[in-house]
Amino acid sequence: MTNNNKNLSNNEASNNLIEVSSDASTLNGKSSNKYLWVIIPLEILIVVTVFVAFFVLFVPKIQEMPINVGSYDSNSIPADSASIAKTNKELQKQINKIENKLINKTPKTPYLTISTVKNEYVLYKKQKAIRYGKCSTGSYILLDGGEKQKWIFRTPKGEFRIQNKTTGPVWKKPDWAFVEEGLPIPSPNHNSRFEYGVLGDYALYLGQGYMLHGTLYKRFLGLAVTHGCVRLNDDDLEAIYKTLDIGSKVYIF
Amino acid sequence: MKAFIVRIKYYLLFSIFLLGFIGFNAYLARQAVKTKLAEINQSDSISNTKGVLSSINRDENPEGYELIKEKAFLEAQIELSNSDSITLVIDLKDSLAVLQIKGVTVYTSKIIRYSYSALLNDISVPVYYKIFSKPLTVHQQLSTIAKEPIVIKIAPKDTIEAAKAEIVPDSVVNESVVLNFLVDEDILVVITNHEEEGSYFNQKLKWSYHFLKQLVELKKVDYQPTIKMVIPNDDIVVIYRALPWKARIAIKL
Repeated sequence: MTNNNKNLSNNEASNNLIEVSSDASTLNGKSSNKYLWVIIPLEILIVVTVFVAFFVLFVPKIQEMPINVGSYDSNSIPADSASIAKTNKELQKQINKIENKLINKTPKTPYLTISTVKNEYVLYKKQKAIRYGKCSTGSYILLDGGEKQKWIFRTPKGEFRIQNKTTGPVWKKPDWAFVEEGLPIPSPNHNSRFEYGVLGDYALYLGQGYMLHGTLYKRFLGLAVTHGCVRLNDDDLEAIYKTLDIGSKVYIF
Repeated sequence: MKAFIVRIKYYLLFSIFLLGFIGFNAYLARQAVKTKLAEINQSDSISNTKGVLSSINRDENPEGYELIKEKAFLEAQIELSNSDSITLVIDLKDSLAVLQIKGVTVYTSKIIRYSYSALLNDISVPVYYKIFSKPLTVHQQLSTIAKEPIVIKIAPKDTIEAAKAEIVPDSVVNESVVLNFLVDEDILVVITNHEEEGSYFNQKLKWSYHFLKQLVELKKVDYQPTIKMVIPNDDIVVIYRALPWKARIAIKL
């Protein structure tokens, strides 16, 4: 009986202990639960930061570290200073030869460069820029006239030659000029196709209907507004006309 | 206290896992560079290692190495000059980006800053010569602006509608431009301006995503050598709009 009592009292005591400890853990759990809303996002933030920093900053740095696995040039034979000098001299000779070839690519006669983005030109003589200024090039408007009639007003790019030069040019209006104005298209040689004085005093022909010519719309110089031709102001056009000959090169980019 | 110790244990385990993961990825990232370098160096054929190229060791003869770079650059330009299209010549050493048409310089832009992957410094002299003595073909072009700023205009029905539909010209690009050219040997050429330098961080983020995606999909981690340069915004527009889709570039590192 006494033993039973003892067992009982021990069981009670242990039960009490369990209760106490469970209470304590509940208390601890409550206190830690209280801060979980701070701890968990903080932990996630730290992990994400470490990951992002590693992948965005550290890995590219690792990849950009010099490698130098063995020698760069493992096949090369150790050379003395005399053979190095000889090699370099030979290389320099080859370089000079290629450089001369490249220099000869630039025309010795006057030429013109035209930027279709900046709408600017540079005139060169004896391989030196002698004049520069504003111009107007193709507007990149796609005129949709329906019935398979579409025109795109872009200035062609590349190397061209002056095919012909003229003073007092007359503009023979193409079909798109009528379509653009909402007018019916006349016959190919109808009087209404010919306009006088709208192209300035000079025109230089590049071929395929493209020209360098003057303009009445000087306020638009420097902007991409044309139907593909290059418009210039009167002074610039005159200077270009007088400097470039038939066959002179025009580079449009 | 017990809960705290458990938490510390959990942190330690997680930190070990994280460090292991980071270490493993750092190894993979580094290995990708080494594999790419080995791939590029292997593309060197025996015929190219003959002659003066194989005798140059850049540690012994740095001047010779510079001359080889110059020679390769000029040879690439000679090949470009035989092409009809507009080409880009990038001289990182002299900080110049030049547009050429048939070997004639038509536009020059100053490179403000540049950097390139360390891998490109680690390729052997014959391999450097093999890659850069020929123009690099652009296989893919990505840009933040349109190649051709085409505006569609529906033809007016009559003169009244034509007068109403007059388009005010505005060809100026005000937005910041970023160009990405993917060229031979999987080299990425990034052309950006001052303002958009921050986008390089975005690119790193995209790259990190690409890296992680490869890991998740259990694919071989790859590496892309990059040449990055900062040039003025206007010049980027000129270069991008002048170059054809299948552009060719000569580069000197």
